Parts: sequence; structure tokens; C-alpha cells
Amino acid sequence: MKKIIILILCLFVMTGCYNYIELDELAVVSSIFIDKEDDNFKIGIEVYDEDDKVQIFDDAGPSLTEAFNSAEEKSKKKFYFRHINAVIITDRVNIEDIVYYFFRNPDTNDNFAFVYTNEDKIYEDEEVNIGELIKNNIDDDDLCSFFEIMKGHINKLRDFAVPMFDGKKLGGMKTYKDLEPKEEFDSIEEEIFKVLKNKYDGFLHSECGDKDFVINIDSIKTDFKIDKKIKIDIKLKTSIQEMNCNLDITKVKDLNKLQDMAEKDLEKRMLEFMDTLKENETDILGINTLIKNKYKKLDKKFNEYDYEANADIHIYKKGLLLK
Amino acid sequence: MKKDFNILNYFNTRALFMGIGLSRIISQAHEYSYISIILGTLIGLFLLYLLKLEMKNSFINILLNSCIIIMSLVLLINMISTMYLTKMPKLLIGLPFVLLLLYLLNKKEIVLYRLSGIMLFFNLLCYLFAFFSLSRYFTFDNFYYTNVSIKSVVTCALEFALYSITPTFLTRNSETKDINIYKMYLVSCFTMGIIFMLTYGILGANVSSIVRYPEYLILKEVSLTTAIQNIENIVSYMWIIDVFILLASCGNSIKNNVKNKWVINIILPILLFITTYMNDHYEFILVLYKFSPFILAGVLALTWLTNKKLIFNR
Repeated sequence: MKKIIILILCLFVMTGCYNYIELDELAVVSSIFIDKEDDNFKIGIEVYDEDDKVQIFDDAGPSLTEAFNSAEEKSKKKFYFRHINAVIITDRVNIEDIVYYFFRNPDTNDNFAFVYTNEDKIYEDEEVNIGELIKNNIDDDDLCSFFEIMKGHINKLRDFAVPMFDGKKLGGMKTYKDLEPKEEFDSIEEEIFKVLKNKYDGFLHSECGDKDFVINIDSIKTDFKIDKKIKIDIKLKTSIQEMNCNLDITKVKDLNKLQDMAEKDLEKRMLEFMDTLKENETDILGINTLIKNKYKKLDKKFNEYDYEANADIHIYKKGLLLK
Repeated sequence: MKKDFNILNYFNTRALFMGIGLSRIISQAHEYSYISIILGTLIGLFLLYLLKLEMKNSFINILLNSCIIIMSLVLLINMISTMYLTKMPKLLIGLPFVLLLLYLLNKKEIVLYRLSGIMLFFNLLCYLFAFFSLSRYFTFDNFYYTNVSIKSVVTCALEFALYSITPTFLTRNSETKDINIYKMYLVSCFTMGIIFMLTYGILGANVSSIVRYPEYLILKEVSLTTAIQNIENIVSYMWIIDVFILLASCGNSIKNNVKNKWVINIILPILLFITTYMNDHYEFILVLYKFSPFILAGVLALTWLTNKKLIFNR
């Protein structure tokens, strides 16, 4: 009898839940574009559609919630943010508003890419899924994942950088200091940033006179030694990806020369990059944290130090070609 | 029986860290959380050895167990309501749990022990899966210096000890005081310590201090290649199992404290209504979050005072 009573009770309380929604009533969001104009949030929402196409819903509102609600009404479906690939913002929006909005919402995945754009409109072709395009083209999504941006934003000692998207492709990055957009870096400088962050397994461009060559990074170890100066030591294990120099790399002497050139070029570019960061006082590498870790105080900030770079590049593969 | 109780104790030791213990300790002890955990475990072991109890049937024991049930139910329902069933009324979230508890408590005590044995397997599976998926996100960079005072570290150690041993004291009985209780306590604290370190190593001091459920948040990163993602809800069952077993243990203690075993069928629904009322007012949750160590210290002290056996009387 007891079992029957419990079963009857279960029939009433366990037959479904309030959050229940049919799959065809969901609009699975791939990416979101957020801009601001006259204190109104302008949003564009890219939703997966049939046959690999996408649907775009634009709207505006004084708050993100109102803008999303209006766009949702247009779509006649419920937006589903758990598969979101990217959030694209402009420099007119306060990044803190956006970060906290998504962080508070339990119905989002937290590993989408956070991307910056200078464009006013990015969704122009319904055949191209911008969210997927961004997600698939991010080499190391750790650096621009929502989590990483969140950590950079909340840690007051550190600033952060967001990858840039021009409406067609990713390239370069935008730095933020105290929520304010700062310097922009191009793709080549972005390579150096990733190398310095010890999280890069992509290509590195180097010059050999008036020509250039590209090496592929297979393993990387970056170390910051803080003393009177800050010494950056980088050890790279690389393979040759593209070779346009006038060197015969079947000879040990020329191969060593190539390694030396790559090392000098990388050292020079690292110091230039550090000079730009010092100029803008944007600590996107988290050096202030390292200084505080060492001295337990921050009397002298990262931009007041001199830097010394030391690269050790070891080419250990050349591919199928001997030369 | 002793072995079964020790398995039960594995869950009880961990249960109160969900949603409250872990976030409180991490947000205060920051990069020195691990010292607090080690110290807390030692204090816990010392208290387990020192405070000898002879559980007596008393009204106070029923009240103390009810207090822990309310605390755990508030945390559990609030977590489910925040993470999974955002629109479901909190009473309806709690109802299936209470029905299941009633079904379990109307059986013989051995059913509870068997259930904990089965759940241990599932719990460890979730735990290991989460551990191996998350360890790649762990970085020592997050253990940066944050001016934490020694006082905070020691306070957190005491809090760790309170969160871990109070349920053990309340639910143990005089039969179960063999050496294995210490061993299982150590295992339980070790698994909790790893979760603490993973949470801190992934989120860092600042993020883990501002979020409500840091231990759930890191589970959002759990994935199996790119094909299986968004499985945090399944993996987080390990927390729900921990709390459910604690609820069942406390319910069982209440049952053992009353002459008429049927009374439990009245007490648990009353506790559910109290919990629902508290859950509908966020002030209660904030108070619980702020004063939980004091509540637990009070529960522990009263448990000892009402059931104490002479110290060092072995």
C-alpha cells in the first residue's frame, strides 16, 4: 500500500518539469554581436537554421535582457545559449556588463570565444556561420575563452586582450585596461603575445634579410625571471614550415645561421612588444602578478622595469624536403 | 556494519562543502587553502579521536539532526534551482527527494548502507572522470600572492574541520568507532582537497571568490574530446549524491531517536516546508552562508554536551 501511495505521489510530481521545452521550439544560438548606441544595446543573434544556414535576429533595448527578449519575440522561439560559439563586442559596450551578464546566466556554456570587432555590422551572409567560423579558427581558445577574459577582468593586477574579427576573418587583438579599450596589435604581434603567454603551437614568421621563413612551433617554454631587470627566457622546439631564404639548410652551418636569425628576430620583436605594453601600461601578460608573487608588494610596476629577451630556438624537423 | 557506516561517512564528510564550505574556504584562504585543508583534516582527526560519544535518545538529537537536514536541503534545492531547474518551484524540487528519503527510511537500516555502497561506485566514477578531464586546465599561475593573513588560514582550517566532522558526529553511534573511521575520514578529506585545489587552480582567487558554486563552475569545462560536452549536470550528480546520503543519514538518526519509527514520516515533510519557506527568502540563504560555521560549531558542541562520554575513557 505504501508503495502504491508513493507511486501515485510520484505521478503527480515527477511527470515533467517547468523548464520543459520542445526541441523544435528552441533557437540554438551560434554567436551574438553586441554594440551600443545612444545608451541602447544593439544586438544581433545568429541562430542555427536548416541546411547549414543561419538566421539573424537584430534588435535593441536599454538593457541586454530587453534586447534579447525583443529578438526572441521576433524569432518566435526560445534562445538556447548552451552551444554558443562566440560573443562579438565593439568598443562602445562596457565589457563588464557583458561578462557579468553571461557569467550570471547558468544556461550558457562558459567556453565560448570572446571577440572584438571594429565593424558596425557583421552578419551579412546567411550562408556563413560566423560563430562556427570564429570557433574553428581560434588556435588556442584558452587565451580568449570567456573564462580567461573573466579572470583577466576580475584580477585587478592584470589586464587582458581580446582577439579581433573584421567580419570575414580573425586577426590581431585588442587590449583592455581598466575596462577601457587600448592598443590594437596585428597578427604578427599576436604571435609574440601567444609565445610570451607560453600557449602557442602555431607558426612564427621570421626575416632573413629581405626574405622570410616560417617555422612551426612544436613545443614552447617561456619563463620570466624577475630581478633588477626582467629577463624573458624562451625555449622553442620548431620545424620548418616554409623556407624562402637563400640558405642551404642541408649544411649544419647554414642551419645554425637560420636558427640564430630566428632567435635574434624573435628577441627583437619581443622587446618591441614589451615596449608597446609599457607605453600603454597594459599588463596583459600578468607580469605585475609575478612581481607581487616575488616581493609580496608592488612598489615597482611592470612598466618601470627594463627587459632582456633570450630566445633559444631549436629546429629539429624540416619536413620531407632536404633543402 | 562498521564498514558500511564508514562508506556512509565518506559522503557525510563531503556533503556540507557543496555550495557553502568550499566557496567560503577558498574565498578566505585563497592560495593557502591547501594549508587550511591539511590543518583542518588534522583538527578533524584530533576531534574524532578526542570526543567520545555515546549517542542517547534525546529530543535535542532530533533537533540537531533536523538542523543539518534543513541546512543541506536548503543548499541542495537552491543549487538545483540555480543550475538545472530554474523555473521549477522549490517545493517541487524538494518533494521527490523527501519522498525518496521516506521510502528509504521506512526500510531497514541495512538498505541505507547498501545504497551508500552502490552510490560510492557511481560517485567515484564521476569524481575520476571530472578529475582527469579537469587536470589539464589546472595551472599554478592561479596560486598568486594575495595578502592572506594567518588568521584567515587558521579560521578556514577550523571551518574545514567543522564542515567535515559535524555530520560524522551526529550520525555515528557507539557501535562505530573503529580505526577505519579515521582512514575513511582521511580519504574523504583527500578527495575534497583535490577538488579544492582543482577549483582554485582553474578559477584563481578572484573568480572563485565571486561565484556562488565554484565547484560546479569548473565542471562546465568537463568534456570528452569535442563530441561530448556540456555534461556538467551529469558529473555534478556526485554533489547531489553526497548531500542525499547526508540527508538519509540524519533522517536515520532521527528515526533511531524516536520510539515510534513512523514519526519520521511527519518530521521530514515539516522540514521540507520549513526549507521551502527559507529558500523563498534569499536573506536566509545569505544568513546561512555567513553563519554556517557558527551553526555547525553550535551543533557539534550540543551533540557533544548531550551525548558525551568521559574523555580519554577508552
